[in-house]
Amino acid sequence: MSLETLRPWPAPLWWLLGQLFRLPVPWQQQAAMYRWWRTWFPHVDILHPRLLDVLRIPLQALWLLLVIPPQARKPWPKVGAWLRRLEQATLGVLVRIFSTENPGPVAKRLHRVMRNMVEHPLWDQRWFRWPMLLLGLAGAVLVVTVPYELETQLWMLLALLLAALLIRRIPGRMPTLVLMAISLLASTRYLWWRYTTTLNWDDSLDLVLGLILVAVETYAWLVLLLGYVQTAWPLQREPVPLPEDESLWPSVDVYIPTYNEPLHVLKPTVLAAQQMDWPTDKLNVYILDDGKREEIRRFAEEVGVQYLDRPDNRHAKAGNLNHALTKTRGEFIAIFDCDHIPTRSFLQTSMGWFFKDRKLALVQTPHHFFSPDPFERNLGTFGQVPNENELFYGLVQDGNDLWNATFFCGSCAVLRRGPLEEVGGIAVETVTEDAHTALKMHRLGYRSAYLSQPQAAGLATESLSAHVGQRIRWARGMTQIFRIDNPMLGKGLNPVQRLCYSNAMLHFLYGIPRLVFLTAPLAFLLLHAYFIHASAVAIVLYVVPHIFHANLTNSRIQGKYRHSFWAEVYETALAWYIARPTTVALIDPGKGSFNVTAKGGLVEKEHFDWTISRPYLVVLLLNLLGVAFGLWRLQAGDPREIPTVIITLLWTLYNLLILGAVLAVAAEARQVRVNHRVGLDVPVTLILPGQHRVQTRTVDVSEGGIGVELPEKNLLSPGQKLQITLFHGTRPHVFPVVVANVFGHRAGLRFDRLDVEQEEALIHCTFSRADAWLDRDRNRKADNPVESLGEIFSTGLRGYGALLRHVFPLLAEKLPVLERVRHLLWQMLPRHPEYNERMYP
Amino acid sequence: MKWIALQGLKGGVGTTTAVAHLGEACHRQGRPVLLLDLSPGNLLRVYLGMPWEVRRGLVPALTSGTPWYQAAYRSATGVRFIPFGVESHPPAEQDYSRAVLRQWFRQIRREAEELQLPAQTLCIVDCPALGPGEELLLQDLVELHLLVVNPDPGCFASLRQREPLPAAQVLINRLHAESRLECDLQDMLLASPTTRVLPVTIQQDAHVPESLAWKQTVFQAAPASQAAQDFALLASWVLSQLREVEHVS
Repeated sequence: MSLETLRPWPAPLWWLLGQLFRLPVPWQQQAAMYRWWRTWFPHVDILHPRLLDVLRIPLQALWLLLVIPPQARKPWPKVGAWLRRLEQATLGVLVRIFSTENPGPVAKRLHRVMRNMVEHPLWDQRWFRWPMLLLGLAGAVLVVTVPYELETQLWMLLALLLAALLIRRIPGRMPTLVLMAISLLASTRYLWWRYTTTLNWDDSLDLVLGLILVAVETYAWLVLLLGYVQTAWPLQREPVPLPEDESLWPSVDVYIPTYNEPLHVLKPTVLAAQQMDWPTDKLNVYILDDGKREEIRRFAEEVGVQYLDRPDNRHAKAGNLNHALTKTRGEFIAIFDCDHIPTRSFLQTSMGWFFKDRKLALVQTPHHFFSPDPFERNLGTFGQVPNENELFYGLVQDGNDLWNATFFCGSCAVLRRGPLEEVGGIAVETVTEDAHTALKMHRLGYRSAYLSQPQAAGLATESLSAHVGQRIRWARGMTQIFRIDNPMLGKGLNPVQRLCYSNAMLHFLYGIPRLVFLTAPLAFLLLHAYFIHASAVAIVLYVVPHIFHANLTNSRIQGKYRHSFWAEVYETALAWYIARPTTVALIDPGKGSFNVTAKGGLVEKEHFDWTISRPYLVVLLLNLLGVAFGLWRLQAGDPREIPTVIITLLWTLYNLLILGAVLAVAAEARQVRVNHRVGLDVPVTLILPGQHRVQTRTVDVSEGGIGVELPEKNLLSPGQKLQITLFHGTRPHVFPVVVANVFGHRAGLRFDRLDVEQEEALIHCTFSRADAWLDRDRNRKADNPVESLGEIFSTGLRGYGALLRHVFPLLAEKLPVLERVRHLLWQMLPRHPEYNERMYP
Repeated sequence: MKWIALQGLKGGVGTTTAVAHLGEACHRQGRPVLLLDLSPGNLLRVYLGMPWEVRRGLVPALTSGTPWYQAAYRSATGVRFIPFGVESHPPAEQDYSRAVLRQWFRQIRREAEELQLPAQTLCIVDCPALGPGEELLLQDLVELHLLVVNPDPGCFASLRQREPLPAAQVLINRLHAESRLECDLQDMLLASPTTRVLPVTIQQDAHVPESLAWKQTVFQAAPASQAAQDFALLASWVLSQLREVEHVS
């Protein structure tokens, strides 16, 4: 304890002291030095020195002195600055023209002219509108069909490319539409060229293979086109406030259907559903138990919710819901799968629209998953790369909403009873009863709405095989609807609704096309079939714009929800499995059986799923064979063929990359616990013996325990009993815990026998907080196609590594050693200085 | 220069603790502070590490006719404060009456504007506990007047009997989160239409008396403690509140 600076202020020294106070205090100097150090020695933490720093520091110093002299840091400073300025200037002009936010005077006039043109009454005249539309179409047809010399095609390619690269930098929706137009023109022109000039009618093998590929490419083109229509303008609907007068609020029945899921999965959902903010006399929670289990009935009684079962199990989940529909009488029905835990704000957020729109029959919210799905777990991409679901819930449903074509997804949704009963309850004809029910309601002229804020969260499927099983069911069901209640036919839908529904169904037919793309280059490499009858240069000149613009545009539309190239990984991994069921369903929709998605299981041991990956291993072998053939052809074949061989080899290499990533999916990582840990960052107070309280933050939470950060090591020891406080708003709740484990600054605490009231409070403080899932993608980077390709590349390599490791276990023993050597060497390497502003100890 | 005052609803609710910690927390958040002890107990200085034997302070200065600001000190962490001080010939207790203290405060507030304190200095005043039937000590003289209470039935009843207290904002100190009663009392106070309760509550924490035994605040003795976090939050709230006052004026 020091009293060094205790002194009174003598009056004449006022100004002198004032000067002195402004001097930097020592810690600021320290921080400045530390910053300087971290800039030039980013990999050496001076506060926590390690042994090998003795080598790292001189190495880095040498590197800094010899390799990065100051003048060499920016090799062409002037040219770079000049180029940047040119780019900025061009962009500035473009942004000012397109952007609606503070446009300049010229842009304002331009906007006015454009608005006058768009809103001109002439457009309402049929005699004007149709000819103009035809004129536009004729222009497009011209661009698509006019034959060019290769050189002219090259110039067009470069012009479009440059335009697209500039336009993608301009924010706003208009530039997105322009990019879509460019992409469609490029792809349609490619397809036209494929149909008109690249089919070899003289050779039957070439022709058959060529026709297959062209058919598949036509499918891809169609899905691209429909996808653009679907996602052109996501509605981004906001919640509508409820009326002030609570007596106007309708009664809501909450259905939680379950079949065989264990009680510990069901419990949080039921407790959270009960605690949703809604007048208690108007909220009735029902557990619909098709398993007819006594345990569940007792639990329902204990917590005070209704329990419903039925004599038979006809039509599985759909039948279960329909049975409940006859037993309850709420005006609205909220449906949650038994593992989707709603937040307390679910009803208050979603019900408002029903007041505003009397024809509204459905409000759907996203399915958010707090555990990684098998793809994310096995690839290690959880929280970094958007998962398979996110494109659908982030973008597609929101895009559908503009066209009033959002459909029901089986859970996390509210339905109005009237329309639901009018269509005869939940549809039972297909295995995707949810989408089919929505289709039926749309046919009767009812509307649907989509709110994109996650208001409930659940468990993702556990194992890869269960995940695949679930996707097979969706693919089969959607194909069934396509066959028996085709959205393009029948009454009641508007044209765009038909397109949106059709795309949702056609999308699931990707199985065969993906397999064709994976094996197509082999036709040339192995069988020497010229399935694209054109020169290598021509192929490049037509394919490049097609692929480039499609990827660029999709990266812009979907970037937040699906990173570039990941669609190929997700779809390829499932392609083999959904190819057969969809084809069967397309031929005979009645065949096949219903399967329940298993949840709450555990992948006990790290292993390679040989069954799932078998077809891909075959394709892999074929591709490797293809590469060998290709290399041989380069060596021994016709020299004029070399460019074609190279292109085909590149295609094969890309396929091998995707296959590697698919194999990485099949390498099942081990799961440690049954209770899923969910990332959670809220304040928590540890009440230590003797009323000592330490505030810290939680790391994650599960049903059985909670992980916390420790401000000091050794604050807790395993086995110690203590209490913790979590907050629900300003209200603290205290829970007894036992310390399960301590690792440095982290501790795992296990809840020590909570009673029902405490369990409710726990749900309240964690899963059912209204803001629980709002910052779900906080740590995620935006899409960057090049980086994304890099991610796929490293994932692919890891896939091959896993394959080798499981094929040759001996190698597996050596791998950790190799990895450590590699890591050590990597750590020793000098680094580029990090010129970072924000760096404090 | 902004002035805020803290006063206990009764003695022993932790007002001096709150002043010392609030001052330290504001100082840590980069806001210059000056703490003024108007409480004859002369205890504020203990948190700031002043030795027992030093008797200087506000009252000795005022009574001996020297300028009061010559009794200002800086603590080891850089917090400026003016202790109440010990008079060599202690007068009767009632000499520090409400009227006298208010008059002193008026003088201090007026003269402080003349001092070369850093811009934006925040002055926090530690007032003696509220006497029976009294109004708030510095009512109408400060920008923000906090009334410190404990979430126990005694304070609750006393608060209810004194309602309405329109000038005061109530700070709940020493909440035992595991006591259902105290949490319920807090909820009732928060829901009360006549009492303005701060959204920040200070929880009971054994680190506070232990720090005092070291003549320190929890920010030095137990920086990870609940109390340190709570007082830091309180400081943020106070600073944001004062910013709003500035916007209005």
